Amino acid sequence: MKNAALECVQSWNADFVENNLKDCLEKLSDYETWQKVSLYSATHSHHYKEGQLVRIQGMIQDMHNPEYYVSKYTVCNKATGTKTVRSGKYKDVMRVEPGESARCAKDGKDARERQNLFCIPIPALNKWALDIHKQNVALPEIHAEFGQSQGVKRKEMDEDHNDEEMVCEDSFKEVKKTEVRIENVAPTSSASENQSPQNLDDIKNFSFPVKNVEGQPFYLKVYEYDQSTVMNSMVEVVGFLSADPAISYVEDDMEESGKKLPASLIPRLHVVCLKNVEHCNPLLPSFNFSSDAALAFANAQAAVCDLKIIFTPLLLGDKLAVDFLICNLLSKVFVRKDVTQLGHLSLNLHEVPKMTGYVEKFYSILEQLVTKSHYFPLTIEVLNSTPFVPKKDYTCDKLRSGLLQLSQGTFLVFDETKMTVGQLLDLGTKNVMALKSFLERQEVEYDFQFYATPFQTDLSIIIFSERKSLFECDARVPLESDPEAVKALEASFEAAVLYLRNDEVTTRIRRFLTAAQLANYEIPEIVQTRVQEDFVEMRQRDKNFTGDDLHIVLNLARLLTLSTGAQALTAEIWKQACAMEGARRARL
Amino acid sequence: MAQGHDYPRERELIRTFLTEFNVQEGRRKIFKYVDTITKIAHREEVSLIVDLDDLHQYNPELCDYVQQNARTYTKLISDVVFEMLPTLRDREVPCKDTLDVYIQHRLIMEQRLRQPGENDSHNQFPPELMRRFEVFLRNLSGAKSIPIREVRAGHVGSLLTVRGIVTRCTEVKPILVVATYTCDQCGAETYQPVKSLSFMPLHKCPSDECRVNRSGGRLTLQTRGSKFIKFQEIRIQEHSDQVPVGHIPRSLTIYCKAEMTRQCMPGDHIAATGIFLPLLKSGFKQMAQGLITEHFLEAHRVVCLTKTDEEEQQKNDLTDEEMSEISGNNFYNKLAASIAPEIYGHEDVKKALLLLLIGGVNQNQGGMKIRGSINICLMGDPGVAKSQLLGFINRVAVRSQYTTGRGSSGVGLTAAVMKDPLTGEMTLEGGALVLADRGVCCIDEFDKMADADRTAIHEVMEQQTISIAKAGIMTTLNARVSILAAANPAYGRYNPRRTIEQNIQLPAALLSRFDLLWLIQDKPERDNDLRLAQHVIFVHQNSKQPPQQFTPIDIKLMRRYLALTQNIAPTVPAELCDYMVEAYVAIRRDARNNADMTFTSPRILLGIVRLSTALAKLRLSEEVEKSDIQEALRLMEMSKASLSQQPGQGGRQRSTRDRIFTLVQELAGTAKSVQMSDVVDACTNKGFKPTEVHETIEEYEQLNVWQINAARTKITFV
Repeated sequence: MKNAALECVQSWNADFVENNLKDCLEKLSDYETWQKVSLYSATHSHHYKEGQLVRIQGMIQDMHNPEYYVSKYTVCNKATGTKTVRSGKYKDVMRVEPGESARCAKDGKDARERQNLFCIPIPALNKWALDIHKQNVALPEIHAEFGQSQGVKRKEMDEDHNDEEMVCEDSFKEVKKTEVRIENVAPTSSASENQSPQNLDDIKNFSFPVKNVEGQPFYLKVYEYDQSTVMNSMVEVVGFLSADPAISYVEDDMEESGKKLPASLIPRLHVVCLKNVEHCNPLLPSFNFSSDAALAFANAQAAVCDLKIIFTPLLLGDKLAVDFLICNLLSKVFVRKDVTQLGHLSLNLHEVPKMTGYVEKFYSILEQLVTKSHYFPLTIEVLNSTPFVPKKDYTCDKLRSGLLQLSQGTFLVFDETKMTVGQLLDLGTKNVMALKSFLERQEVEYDFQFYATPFQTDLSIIIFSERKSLFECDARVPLESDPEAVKALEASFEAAVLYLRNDEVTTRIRRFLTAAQLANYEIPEIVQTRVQEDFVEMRQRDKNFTGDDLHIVLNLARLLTLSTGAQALTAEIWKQACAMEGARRARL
Repeated sequence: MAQGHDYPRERELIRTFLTEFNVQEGRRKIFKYVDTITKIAHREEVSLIVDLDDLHQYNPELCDYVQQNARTYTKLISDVVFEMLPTLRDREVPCKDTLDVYIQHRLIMEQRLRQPGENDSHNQFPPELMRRFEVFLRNLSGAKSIPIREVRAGHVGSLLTVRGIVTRCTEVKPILVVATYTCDQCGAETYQPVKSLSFMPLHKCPSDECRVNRSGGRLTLQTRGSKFIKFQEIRIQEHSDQVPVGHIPRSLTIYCKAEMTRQCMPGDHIAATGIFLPLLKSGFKQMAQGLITEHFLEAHRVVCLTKTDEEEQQKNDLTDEEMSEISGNNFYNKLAASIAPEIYGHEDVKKALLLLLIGGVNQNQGGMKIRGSINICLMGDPGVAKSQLLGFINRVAVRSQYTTGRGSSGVGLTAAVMKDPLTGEMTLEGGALVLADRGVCCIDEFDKMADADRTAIHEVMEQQTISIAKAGIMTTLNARVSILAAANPAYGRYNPRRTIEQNIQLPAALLSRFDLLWLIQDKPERDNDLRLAQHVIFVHQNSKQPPQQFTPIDIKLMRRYLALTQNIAPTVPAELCDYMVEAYVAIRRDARNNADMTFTSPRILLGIVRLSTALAKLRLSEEVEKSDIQEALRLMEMSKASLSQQPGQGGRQRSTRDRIFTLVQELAGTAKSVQMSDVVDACTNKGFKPTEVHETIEEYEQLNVWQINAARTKITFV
């Protein structure tokens, strides 16, 4: 009986999970079972019923104070006098039928805490990834019994198959109402600077680092929170959905009102299992993916070849720039210790052709390949108006997001060709400083007004500029254009678009880029000695070559190794990396 | 509670505690609580603070109960105190305010109207109304404060101490404690104690008269008869160092009542002791109460923490184990090496930075102020990890500000007069230097700063104050900061042939204010390079720092140790003064004789004092020793040496010996022989290592230049 119930993930309810938590979690650690839980889709919100088990993917944008809930309460049926103990876990509202009264221990002995996390859809997720996600959404069947009439006096939220008879017509009406509420988020007022968000558009403006994101934010209620999930980490969550309008009623009275938004706008999700995921590429399983990754990784040669075919004409035939671009696409911070962080390779490509919309076009190709990316034109106006650094707003007790609050592994393309002469205002100056220190330390200092706290951030940055950029990058490559390629630029873009129509090619590249970022890497001992000797020699030749430069070259070597599909450095690749860095320096 | 508390017995215990607890002071016994309660009885005092330390001494078990179930016991204590009041009143008390008069009237009326023994439950005066005092608990002095993050559901009901920064304070407002109503029909008074933030007013008169007659008397709220107390709500947020990496600071609501209000302002660091309680709701809301309850801390003690309090607290936390980890052999080197462990070498620079973090002793006698903080300027070719060193210091220092020269104007570094947009008043906004008071201000790219802005720093660096005369505000702000500046040499590279002023284009007035100037150079050298390469590769290979001969001391531990050093103010013993003066004179003489590229001024003497006191502080010693001065002189010498480096490594070894030899010759003068101890002292002052000195002496002995007597105390020239 129990085993059968365990198998049928879709039918789990709160009480079942609470009683069999260990078994359920074990079951969920299997990727197939995990996948069986239906993925939530905002466009079909009316298909989901209260207390249903759903799966979502998102990024932790904010963390609120923990809340205390009543873990169990006694319900006494006035008519029969029978007493039952009900659990408060995975629920927001007490379940009390008409003719029943509830009691909970006065001294708060039954209070337990749960962590409140604010989860937004992964920002800057590209359209192709979103499309695949949408395809993966398997809508739950609409059962006849779904939904229940909800009233303030008669609060029910979790459904119990045994003891209730449903009046279907009634419940449909109710559901419709809720549904209308969810979608009734007309963008009447845009959030002004000092206003706390009131509707979904405001929330998006307020809490999303990048504005044009579709999807539904959630409040996650995490039980047994172990603090391993940090800000901006990507998570996949399985939990019980709760959007009972009664929640708002309960929470309305809370002293920190204004902090929580109504459940109709932001549903609550009572988390059964929360997983930190390292990537969100829908073409690879989100965890336990070693075998798939290995497969994708084996295709390295073909994928890199494709990348070269696509980007060489676009970068005006400059092979060195293409090599650096590929390295940038594979880069990821892999070690952080005190003030050292290694693995990132921010790239500044300058001397770009004076073709209108070059960077946009380039980006439109790039966004078809990487999972998460964002294009940001660096103009005075945008710099003065878009906050880069998240800031705590104490009036509504929320974190106002900023551009640099993107999740790990997002590509941020800055277009400095748009820059004009002008005056940077307060915000603009702060933004510039933040971006500068980010490029230096891969760290963003969130503004908590009374103090600033650094948050580790791992974004790959490419800056396109006409001349040397305002911002110091790890690698600056002036483009050396081939006059032939310049002439054929328009055609090259068209060709690239056509080339990417081939699904096999795009899939290969997409899978490879993610797999390579997550791959392991080592330096064999024999190459280590070689590197050491080379370094000493380089120092003798050029005393400007410092330890930091060695870091850069070693990092290049790592990325080059990964781009060949290998996982151990060889002497040839080391040489190649030195040559690459040498060629770049020669151009400066 | 599970054990089944015997409240009447505990009540008696509390009563005995309050009446009998005394402290011996001289020959008299002071009955602390009886005295306070007597004052309360005479309306001279409004709060009774029960120190749990006292209670612990009296009855540890009871103390535990109080801690765990603080609210109940607070009530119990105040009941006991209320009972004790009449017995302690020895004279008629004048009425202080209307409520006193009101209470008195009611009491008289009650005596007149009521038959003894009659008990009318509706119209009894609630104890809250009659009491004109509050009972507050003070936590055990040994009780550790709990990080806000650790406050759990399990703490509900118990007494906690938390620390945090105040993010919000409401206005102090009156809150209703007891609502008093009068009936428009029978005139009876009804009281309603209010326990939560909102209440449902009563409408129907519950008195016997109205009920029996069904006259339907309506109640009206009487403001004069109701009791209000001061109420303030504050919100605190975790300190930044309590927040784990990648998390958002948590916050906690504190309700302050009566005397606990107006203790802090937004931005203050506070320690609050209070009872962690769920928020009760009344009326309909109570019924509708969902599964979530809100919690708050009912304040019993709010203390604004100054930086020193905090440091004191931290000092207590240092265990013997940690002490032994820090102290022990070679701890000076170890501490220095733990500064930015990922940066290679530069031991002397790190030592200097360690001393900067500790600082000397501020002298402030008879209006003459001598700064104790040490200022250091790091110069160097681009890419020698200057900024990283600065960044590290910025993190270690308890209070610090980091700015870059290009990013800050003079105003940003000092203070600005701002107009408050709301009130139109002029206010002072502290810039980086003011904000770093009693801390470190790290200024990167010092050379890039505009001249006008740089002059603003002159005053800070010597007088440690900032004077402002702008927009009608004239004031002097404290800026007791150590300045750590980093500068790039002009024209890219440092040229040892030019003077230091030419090299970094800073005026002498500013340069002389730095105690130590350091030139960090990066020279190719095979062994070093190889080690560096190994280090870098190891990091890339293993994703972690290579195992080192020593494990660097944890930043937090270091910070606490540094805090410990701040409580010591070492003095220079008289016998060492001469030694110091001689050393200074020698430096001056050298500066005159040699074509010196650096700048030697009387400030150097003060610098030596500062450095050596800092070294004494580092040893946690109250007195400066000769070795401290020697080390200070050595650092000075090394810093100078770094500025006037001779090119070529091979020749340098030779020249060291030559220099030592010339030194000995100078020392001997016309005399034929010198004392060995003098030689060693003189040489160490010049920055030579004792081993080098001894090697030189032996070498020249072998060359038969001089002879050494058998006891090796005297050198005689041949």
